[in-house]
Amino acid sequence: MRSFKAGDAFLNTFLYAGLALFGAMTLYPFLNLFAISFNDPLDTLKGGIYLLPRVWSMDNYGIIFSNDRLLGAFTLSIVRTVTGTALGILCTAMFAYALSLREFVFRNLFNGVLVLTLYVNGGLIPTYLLIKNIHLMNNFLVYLLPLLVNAFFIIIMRSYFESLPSGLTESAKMDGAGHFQTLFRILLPISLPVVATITLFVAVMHWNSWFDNYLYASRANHLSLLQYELMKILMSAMNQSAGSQAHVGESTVSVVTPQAIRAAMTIVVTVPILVVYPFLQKYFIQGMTVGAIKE
Amino acid sequence: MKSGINPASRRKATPSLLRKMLIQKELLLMTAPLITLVIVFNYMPLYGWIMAFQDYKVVKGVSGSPFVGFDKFVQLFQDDQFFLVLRNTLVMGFLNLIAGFIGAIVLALALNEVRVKWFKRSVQTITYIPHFVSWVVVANIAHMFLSPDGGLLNILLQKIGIIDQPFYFMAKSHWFWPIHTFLSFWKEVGWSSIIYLAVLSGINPDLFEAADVDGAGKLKKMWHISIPGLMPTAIILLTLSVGWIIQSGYESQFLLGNPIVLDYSEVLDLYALRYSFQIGDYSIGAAISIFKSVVSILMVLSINYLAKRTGSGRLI
Amino acid sequence: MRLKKGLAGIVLLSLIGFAAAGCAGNKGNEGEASSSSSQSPTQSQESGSASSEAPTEKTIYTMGVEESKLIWGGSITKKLTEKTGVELKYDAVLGDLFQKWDIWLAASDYPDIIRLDNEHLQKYIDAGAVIPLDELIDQYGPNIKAKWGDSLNLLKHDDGHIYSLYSVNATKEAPANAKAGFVVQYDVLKEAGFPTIKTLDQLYDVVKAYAAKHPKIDGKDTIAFGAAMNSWTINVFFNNAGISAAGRPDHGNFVVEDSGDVHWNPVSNYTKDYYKFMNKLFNENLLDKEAFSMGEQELKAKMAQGRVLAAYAPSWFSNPPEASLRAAELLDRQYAHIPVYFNESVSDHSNAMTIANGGTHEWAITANAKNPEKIIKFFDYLFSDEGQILTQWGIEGVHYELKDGKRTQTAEWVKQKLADPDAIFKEGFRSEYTGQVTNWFSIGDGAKLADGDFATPITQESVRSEYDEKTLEVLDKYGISTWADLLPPVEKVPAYLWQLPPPSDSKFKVVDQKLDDLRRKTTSQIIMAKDDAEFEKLFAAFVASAKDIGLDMYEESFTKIWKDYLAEYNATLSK
Repeated sequence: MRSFKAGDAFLNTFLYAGLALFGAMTLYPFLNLFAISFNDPLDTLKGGIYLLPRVWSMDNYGIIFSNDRLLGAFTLSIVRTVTGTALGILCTAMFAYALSLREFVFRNLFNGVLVLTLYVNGGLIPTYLLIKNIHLMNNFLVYLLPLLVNAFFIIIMRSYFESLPSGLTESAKMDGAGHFQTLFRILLPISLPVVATITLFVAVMHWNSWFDNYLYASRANHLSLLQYELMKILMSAMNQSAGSQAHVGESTVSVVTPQAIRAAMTIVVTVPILVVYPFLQKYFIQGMTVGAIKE
Repeated sequence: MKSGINPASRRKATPSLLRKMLIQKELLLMTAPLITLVIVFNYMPLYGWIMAFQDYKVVKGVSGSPFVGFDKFVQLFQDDQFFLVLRNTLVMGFLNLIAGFIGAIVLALALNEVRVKWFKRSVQTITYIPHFVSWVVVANIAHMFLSPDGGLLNILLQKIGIIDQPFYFMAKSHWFWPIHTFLSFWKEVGWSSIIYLAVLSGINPDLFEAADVDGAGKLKKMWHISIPGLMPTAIILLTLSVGWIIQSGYESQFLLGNPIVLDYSEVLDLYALRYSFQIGDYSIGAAISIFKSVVSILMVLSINYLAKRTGSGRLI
Repeated sequence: MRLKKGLAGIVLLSLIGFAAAGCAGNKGNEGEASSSSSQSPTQSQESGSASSEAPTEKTIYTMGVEESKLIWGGSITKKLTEKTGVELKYDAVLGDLFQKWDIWLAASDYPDIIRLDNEHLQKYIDAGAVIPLDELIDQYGPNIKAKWGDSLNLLKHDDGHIYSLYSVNATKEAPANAKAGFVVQYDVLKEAGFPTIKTLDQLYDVVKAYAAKHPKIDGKDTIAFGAAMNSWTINVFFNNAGISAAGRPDHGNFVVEDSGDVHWNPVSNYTKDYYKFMNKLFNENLLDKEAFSMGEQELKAKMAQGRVLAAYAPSWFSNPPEASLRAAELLDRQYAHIPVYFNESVSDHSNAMTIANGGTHEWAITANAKNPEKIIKFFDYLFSDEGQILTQWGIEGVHYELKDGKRTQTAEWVKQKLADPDAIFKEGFRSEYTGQVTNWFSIGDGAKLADGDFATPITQESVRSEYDEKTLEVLDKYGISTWADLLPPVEKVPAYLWQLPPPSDSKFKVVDQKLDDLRRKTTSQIIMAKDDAEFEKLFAAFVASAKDIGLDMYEESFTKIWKDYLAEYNATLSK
């Protein structure tokens, strides 16, 4: 008994110190970006900025926020993330549930079809032609439909469902509950940790995506997403710095630098995630457990 | 793959598929529309693979381009460079997989043991942030720290007397793989640990209480409760990731690499970019894509087979 | 209970989602409808008078561009719409241009107006995706014809048709803001007593002396000579530099002999001599320690810190760090831009100029465009004197004013431009690149319009007015008024090799990539050679490997392309 306790104390010290160190290491890039984003872009060019800005400036954010499409793009990004996540979770849960049932007649077939999608890819041109032919170009649905079924998320949720005591679904069946009822009334409430996790993954996937916007909706201004608008600013800064179209005058006092823009951009898109995160975090960090809800 | 037929239905003579479908109409309602989406968005574009057997020209399209049989594959397999980048891809993919897999589990287990709530929450939040930082930034930071010209690591190593001349990390071929693995680990491990944390928090607390009563220490509880609880998910994630070893992308290697370490840094996806898309030869790109898919699927099937043999979780 | 709420939430959210999707979809349709309805032709305009007649209806055309910051809404673009009835809606390509051009072509989904390079233009022509412009120009393009003159024939493709337009060079002098490629810090020159530097050896001597005297600048190691090999900048610092030191015109990675034979520059004697120079710097510890792993960003940072004494850094590269140096008031660390050669006997032909600026930035009209007449009239307006003044100088009273009958940029506009790098975007001075550094279709800095005044604001006077006092002082020491004065006289060349479409055969392109791979791998090894013997051995091995890959076939293909073009060029001009 005693030896266990001593071991635990040693383990604890090791644990806390190790985690604190690793946390500090992973916090660094964010602090660094934060410093660069608030630093004067011309001064940033000199490099050597670590934890604090050298010459404070709001110029980088000024450049980003002077884009008048930004507010609309921000709103649409939220709409896309919320709808995409809600629908995504719904579909993931239904598919995962069906695949977790041993008696489901197409279980193996659908499972195989699904897993295969993780490793095959028809390429950019055929996909583009498809999107064009089914009239999803410049259509909001192009943000949602192709991402609705994600094999990776479904497999994770399926394995979680499979790990639950089988008695749960059995007893629901005895009570005459249908599959929809079993899934939504019984399984999901006790699967909150995994639901929260998948929610986070799906939401981040939607929030971060810009390539579908660029590829399939670049001619529809009203479908512009935040990340896409920011990418445009960044690309322009990169083009200017790559010199193909350099136009810095002899006495120019302000220069757009890609590092500075990228830093401000990363902060702008990451902060919303950091704000929302704690609401999801509590579900998978606090131990929402089978036993606790099983009554 | 045996499908479990429940005893109730076994009594009757094998019911027709149609009959089964009728009984399971609710499940079909849940899945059929979605599987249609999968077929449309994931399988229909696969006709693009035909390009690999053609001399595809954008102007002519798949229907009009001439067929050349396996020429593109022959071209690929006759190129020494292809095997070099394949080696690099597999080695780096494997290193990343192992480091990331073990790291994420260890981090999740460690966080799960922390009892101080604010500490647990903040460390967990902080560790996943690098996931949102692009590789360009990570590479910049790496170059800054490792630079022989005033890089912090070199200054530090010189101060404590390990080296007397600045060390040019980025110009040493055999340093590339460890540096790349370390940075990938650092960037992604927090994010990957989220799934394991979720699974850990789903483990029945009764089990831990019972262990406490038995006087088990932290390590013992980890070994006998937490790790077995993680196993099914871990095995499935491992199986899935093995398939991605060859689909590594190229961003990180491209940004961290340089001409001196090219023989160790170039990967398959960069090769595909340079020898396919950049020169407008989409056929070779399709051939590489097919090659990657075949390798992925073979690797996943073998790991899945092993997992089934050992009785741990299974993917398919 | 909790679950029910959650479920209701999910359902509600999805409903909102679908509603939003519906809305967005509708909006999209409306947008399309309105743009197509406004595309009813507005004919009845006489050719050439487009500039004076205000068109009744506005047409929105989509245009595929690389510059993602372009917007249509500035005072100049508004005026353009007023004058021509054309509004452009930009579809910016982020990332891989070639890929998007190919995708557009594969799906016949290209925008109305598209900017392509010559290679992809050929693909588009083969697919019938771009329309011939010669008849349209004949009918509606008097100004295009006037500005291009006989050179218009050079725009013709093999089939006798014209498919693209770009900027033309009506000037005979180098732009006043042009600068030589090699740079040396003012302070280095000052310590050496402002010597004349003409050769790499002289450059080597001054930086070596300075570096020996000042091993640290601002607490950090002095870098006598900067270069950055990582990424595409290898072309600049390890290829163009040698070509420049040999006084050859910039044909990219190629040298075109007077005989018309084309050689791949990385295996040329120019490159060898330049590598030798780098090798000497490296062995003397004068080359940047991390030149081989560094990208352009890091080199710029070091230059902005003021500790890079010299480099090969064309103005587009050195401008941002120099701006940073000025902002930090380190005026002595700015750079003199000096032509430097292998030896005194090099005669400089590097200040070459082509008749037109085709090759990478050619504007074409696609088969998707309705009423292309209107687009040609729009292009024609841009080429007219009125259009030139509007797009290059801006609006009178706002961006420029007449002083003694000459156009001069207003002080407010100059101030605004320098303070806000985006001002030229916001006002509408920027368009997609047209082959000229200046925007829209230009006839060149230093060229004159019919009124006898300059076509663009870049003149010797305006350039000098932007110099700081330190720069003026250094220029004075050398007895010149701008850096452009150090350049040799302009020589017209038929074209640059990179302006001509390369062979499209995929076997050729594989050789191209292989050679590039080889060069990237070997350059650093050669430059790091310990002694001359090793250097010679490595360079010879590099040349041998290049030959194994197919160098001869590669050079022959380019020689053929060049000679074919030359024959055509001479035939056109002798007509």
